[in-house]
Amino acid sequence: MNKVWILANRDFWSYLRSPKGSVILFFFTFFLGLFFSVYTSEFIEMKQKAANLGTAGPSVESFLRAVYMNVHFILMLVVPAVTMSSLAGERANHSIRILLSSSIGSGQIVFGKFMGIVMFMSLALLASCVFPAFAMVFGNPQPAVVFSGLLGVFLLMLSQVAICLYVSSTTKNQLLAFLLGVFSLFLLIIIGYAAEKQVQPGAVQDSLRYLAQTDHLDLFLKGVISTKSIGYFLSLTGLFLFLSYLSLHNLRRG
Amino acid sequence: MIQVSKLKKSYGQTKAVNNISFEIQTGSVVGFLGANGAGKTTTMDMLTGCQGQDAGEIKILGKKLDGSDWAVLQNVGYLPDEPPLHGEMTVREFLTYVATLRGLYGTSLKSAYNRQVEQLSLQKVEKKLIRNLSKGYRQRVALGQAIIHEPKVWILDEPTEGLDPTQIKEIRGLIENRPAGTTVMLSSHIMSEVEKNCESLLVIDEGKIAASGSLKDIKKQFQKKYIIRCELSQTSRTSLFEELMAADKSLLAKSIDQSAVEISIRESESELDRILATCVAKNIKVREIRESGSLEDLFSQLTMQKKAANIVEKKAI
Repeated sequence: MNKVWILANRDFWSYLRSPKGSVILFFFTFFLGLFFSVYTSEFIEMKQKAANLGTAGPSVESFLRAVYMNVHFILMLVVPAVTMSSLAGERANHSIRILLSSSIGSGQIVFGKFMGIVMFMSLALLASCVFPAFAMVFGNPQPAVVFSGLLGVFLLMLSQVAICLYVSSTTKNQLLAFLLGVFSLFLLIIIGYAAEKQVQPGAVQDSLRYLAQTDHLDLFLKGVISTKSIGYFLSLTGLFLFLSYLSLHNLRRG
Repeated sequence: MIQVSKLKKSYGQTKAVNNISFEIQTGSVVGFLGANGAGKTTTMDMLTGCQGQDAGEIKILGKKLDGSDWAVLQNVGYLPDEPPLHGEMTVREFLTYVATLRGLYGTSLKSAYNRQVEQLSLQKVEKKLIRNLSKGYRQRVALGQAIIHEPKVWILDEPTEGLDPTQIKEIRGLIENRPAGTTVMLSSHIMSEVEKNCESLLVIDEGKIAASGSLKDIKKQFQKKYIIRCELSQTSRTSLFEELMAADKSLLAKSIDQSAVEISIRESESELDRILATCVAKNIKVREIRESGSLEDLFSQLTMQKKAANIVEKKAI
């Protein structure tokens, strides 16, 4: 476990100190802030209209839900940008040989890389908590709903890192790792919509909709902590970490 | 000890390593030679766990390297041909990182780090980012990461690449003064360094072992005594080869350029006389006759073994 921590720690500081890491953190918080700003204006406008009509208008929780549904699209670009330099980048610049020629197991390497990226992305998510913090100060949403939403985004991020880490383990080409990562995450976003429009209602449609990340995230953003959705995100994470392990182990074993 | 048995590795249709077997005794320094693309790096990658083999067995210090237990690699230090470095780290951070990955902590880490900095003369660049270092310093840092944990087996691919003569001498000293019982396998294109550092040779050519054994024995077995340099036209070149090869199929010839060729012959005054007579008869100008004593010539001979015969075979077809 100690070697996992050494790997994770090195990768975390490497991302943090690199210009790319700074740009990614900026990109993430800037665009989330942009969505927050746009939705805030719309929310205030809708609230005023509702007040004029004598109705309650949209809740702060639904406002936060609208903001955080867009985090999907931001993570779709950010996560592959971070993971592309993980295993693919190390294979390209040959520094992977430090790990492959050591006594560290393939599982430890994969988990160490995963934890390093998760630590870095968690920092980005932590920075973005300024937006729900503002909402809590000025809007008084239910704390449980805010917490549930953040938990959902965190679990979403875990699964996306695992998927993109696997993609990164299959190639030496960082650009290819990035593009395939974006494509894979995009597929998991639209699969629910596609299933609804293209597939007849039934077991197949239900199965495809279960794979859609948007539906599971939406539940968390509504304040519903469903064991089915927790199971979905954790299973997806576990599956792709295992596939990453197999990919690396096969490289070492031949 | 390193034991390799029937090792194979292919990339598609290309057999990079084709059924090689060899043994390297504990404590010895072996030169691993081969032309570019011969299979040296692939072999070294497999010996160090960076790539798996398609078939065959590898044993390091009596333990199998088969993916079931990577702990055997704790005793291996690898310097690949492309130095594995993290450019965004300082030298101190990088060597400390590698040392901790290798299981060194506390005082053992500190003493290993200090020893490495001193042995490789890295004092001036400890706090510099690796990406800002010169090629020579990068090579030394890469060597440092390979041996910081005092492994029993050193696998070094071109360890003196990019180093100036003083640094090359220091690396030679490092190998000579290595801890007792340390086995070194090093590859280099600088033959003078191989001759100075190595007791035995392993030569690989097109994925197969062309020669193995002590340096002295290989020189005795394969080395030709005389090298004759001739100037000739394309027509006279082919007819000269045909005539010479018909008499002696082990003759070796190498084209220098369009109009010159080197012929290597065994230690035999009569053979030298025969070839000179042939050259005179065919009006071929002999520009140089010299004795072959260097490892460069031996390397050329071992890797060019087939090529002279192929010239005549193609002509016959």
